[in-house]
Amino acid sequence: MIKYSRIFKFLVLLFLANQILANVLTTLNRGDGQVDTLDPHKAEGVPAINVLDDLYEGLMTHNQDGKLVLGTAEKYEVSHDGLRYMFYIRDNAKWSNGKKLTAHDFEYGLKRAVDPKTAGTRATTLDPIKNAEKILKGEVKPQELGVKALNDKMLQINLEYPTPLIFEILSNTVSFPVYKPSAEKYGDRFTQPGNHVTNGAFKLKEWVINSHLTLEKNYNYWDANDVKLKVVKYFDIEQPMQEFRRYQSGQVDLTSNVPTENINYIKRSLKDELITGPYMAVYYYGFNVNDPLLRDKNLRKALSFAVDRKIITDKLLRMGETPRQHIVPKRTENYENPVIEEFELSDELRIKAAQKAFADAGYSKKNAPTITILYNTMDSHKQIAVLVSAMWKSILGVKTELINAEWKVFLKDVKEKRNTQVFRQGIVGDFNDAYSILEVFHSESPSNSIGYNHVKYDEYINKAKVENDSDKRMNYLQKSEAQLLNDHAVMPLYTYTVKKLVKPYVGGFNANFMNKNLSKYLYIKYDKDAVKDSRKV
Amino acid sequence: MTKYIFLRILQAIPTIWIIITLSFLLMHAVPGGPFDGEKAVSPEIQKNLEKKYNLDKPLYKQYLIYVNNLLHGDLGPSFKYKDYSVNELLYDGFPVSLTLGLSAMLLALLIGVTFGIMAAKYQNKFIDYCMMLFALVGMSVPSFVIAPMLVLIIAIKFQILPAGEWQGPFAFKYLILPIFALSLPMIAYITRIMRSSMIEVLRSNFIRTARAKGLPEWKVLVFHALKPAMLPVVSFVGPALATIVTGSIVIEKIFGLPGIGQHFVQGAINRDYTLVMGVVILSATLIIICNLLVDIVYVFIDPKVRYAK
Repeated sequence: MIKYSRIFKFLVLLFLANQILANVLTTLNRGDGQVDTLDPHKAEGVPAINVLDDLYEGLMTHNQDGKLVLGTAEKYEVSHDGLRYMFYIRDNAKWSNGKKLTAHDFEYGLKRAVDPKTAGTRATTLDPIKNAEKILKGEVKPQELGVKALNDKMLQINLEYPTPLIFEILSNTVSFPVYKPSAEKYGDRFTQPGNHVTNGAFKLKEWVINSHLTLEKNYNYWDANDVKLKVVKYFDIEQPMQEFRRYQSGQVDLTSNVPTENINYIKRSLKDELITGPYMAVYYYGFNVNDPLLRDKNLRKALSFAVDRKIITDKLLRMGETPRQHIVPKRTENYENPVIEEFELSDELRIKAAQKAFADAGYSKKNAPTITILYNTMDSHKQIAVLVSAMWKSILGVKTELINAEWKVFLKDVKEKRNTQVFRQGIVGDFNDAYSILEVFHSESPSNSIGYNHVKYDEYINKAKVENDSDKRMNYLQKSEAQLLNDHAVMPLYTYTVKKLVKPYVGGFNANFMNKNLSKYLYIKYDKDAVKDSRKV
Repeated sequence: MTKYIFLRILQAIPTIWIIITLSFLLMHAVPGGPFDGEKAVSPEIQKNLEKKYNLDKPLYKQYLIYVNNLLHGDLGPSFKYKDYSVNELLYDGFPVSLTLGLSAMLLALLIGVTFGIMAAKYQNKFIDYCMMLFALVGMSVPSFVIAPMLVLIIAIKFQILPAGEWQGPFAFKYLILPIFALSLPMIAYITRIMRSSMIEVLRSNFIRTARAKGLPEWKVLVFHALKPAMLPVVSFVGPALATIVTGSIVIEKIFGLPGIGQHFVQGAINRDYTLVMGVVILSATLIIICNLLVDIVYVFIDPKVRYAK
């Protein structure tokens, strides 16, 4: 009897140990949970979009390398004129509650996204779909959107104009389907745990604002067999330094960023865990081209050419950022930056070119203007502004006034062109396409903070927007970039890098250009000792 | 006493109303709006957003709508956390801050009062100097220094306790560091207040009488001196309690705790008008309640205090 009791106890212990180990090895702790909304049609920040990419899946999605692939749609057809798309929903696509996911759900989602009552901030992304723009302006009802479910499987999308970026748009959170019964029953609260029904690889279990989100594997997801993680936890940690501390203490396995102040220590002690790569995002200084002083193209050129970008990237940032004079990042798909000979000058000649342009603008070291640089509160912005002003001072004799503003005050000042001669800006491309960077400077773009207004530029952008031929399209985009850069309307400084700390036991991670790392591709390697050792950093 | 409490509550109503009005005006006077972002939205989207949150109406109408909703117990939707109302955010966040604040205050009272008594009893001796040094350190080193140091040493170097995270009010190991960091300055204050108050009381005639009667020293301290010596501590603890339970911004940030202190700061940064107003109303109400409680506790501690019948 005693013998059987011992065997029973041993089996129970074995079972429990196995359960604990299984949980440890299928749980991933991520540090990018600063989510303000889980409504896919209202989300705008990178963290919210990352979590939504785990919870939902559009007709198109991204693979491990951040490239576009079919998502909930199994195939599609395009009409000859490029204005009508037919998507076929997968037969085994389901919501997290087990209900069948149909083309009607996508129709409902897209119409909800453009409905003015939803008040989604990124709804204009859907402008290419027939009537979307009119619906947003309140001229037409949302039911008139050019989207129709022909049956449960087939979804027809009609466009206003041929749209090369349509697949990118359909992978965006704003195009995600929404579970109608839940959205109608709970209104704005349909995204709270318990009410939230999703169609992605994970479903929402818990959401504690300012603390964490817990996602559980969605066994009803069409590709659930390939999803290895059972639990993904996103921690809401604002400061990279605090995220780093949690990483060191073993509470976070994958960070969203790396604290620059600790970069030497990280490069020295955690070099195998530091992963960096290029990012579809650019840091630049905008010139207020309508400012009486900066209206002069020569002055803008002088200011831009006086700055040695390498000092900023190599001496200050030191995380593999690429010094840039072009505005579109280097590895952008289907694109090559236009060749601008002056950008290839040696440092010596570049400085001479800057001084010549300065003289052409009617200035000299003795007769140099005072220029303001506006930036929002952050150490790195301040350090960059100090470096830039030092270079302007030594090469041109330009005096600078540095204005530091709190974030919302900064945004208001930039919008209202107050205190803005030169100001810090950054663009993160929504899509891996030059258009998503260059359209910002179109005269009608609400994000055109520099006030740039050039007929030719607008014309190239308008043509690129509707051109399906990739060569012709690239040509328009190149011409527009060349125009912008030859006008020296902006002063690009560098392209950002994706930088993360990843524990050695996390598998499937790939730093990609779009910074998309869906949890469905990640896993914990089945190596208990590796887990144990690496947690003792 | 009942009449006194009733009158105090009546007095609190105009105070809270003035606070609401002032905060409403100040929040709307701050430059920048809740929907300004790095990527500017198109005018039609801006219009839709403003319509949804009543920001398209004149300020006095927005104020009237807000006050009307408030009278119905509705603090409005959060502009930042679009899936939650302010009521829900405070309902979720307040227990966290309350757990932290009450635990820290309790710990501070226990340690602070004990240290204060010991320092007073052994005035100008080694123990007194140790206590005063501890109090000086606790008061002068800010929590944004103490908390990261605790994390570095306890959580990262020795990995004894976690560096942060909220796992509920009963996950003690997650609460030890934040509670200790939060209570340290309180312990220091209470020790100093208790010491000086106790020294004064110990010189009183009634203590001399108690000693002359031959009572043991511990009985003199606990049964005779403690009660009157606690008066200044109670005056300090009342408002301090209200402040501490409405969230410590620094501690919550460093340890990643979802209390309402973070809502206050983030709300102001994000121009989340309704959220900031909600936290202000809650804090003001708590401060008024705590002050009232202090006045009531006075009656029980000090026989000289009596309120109009």
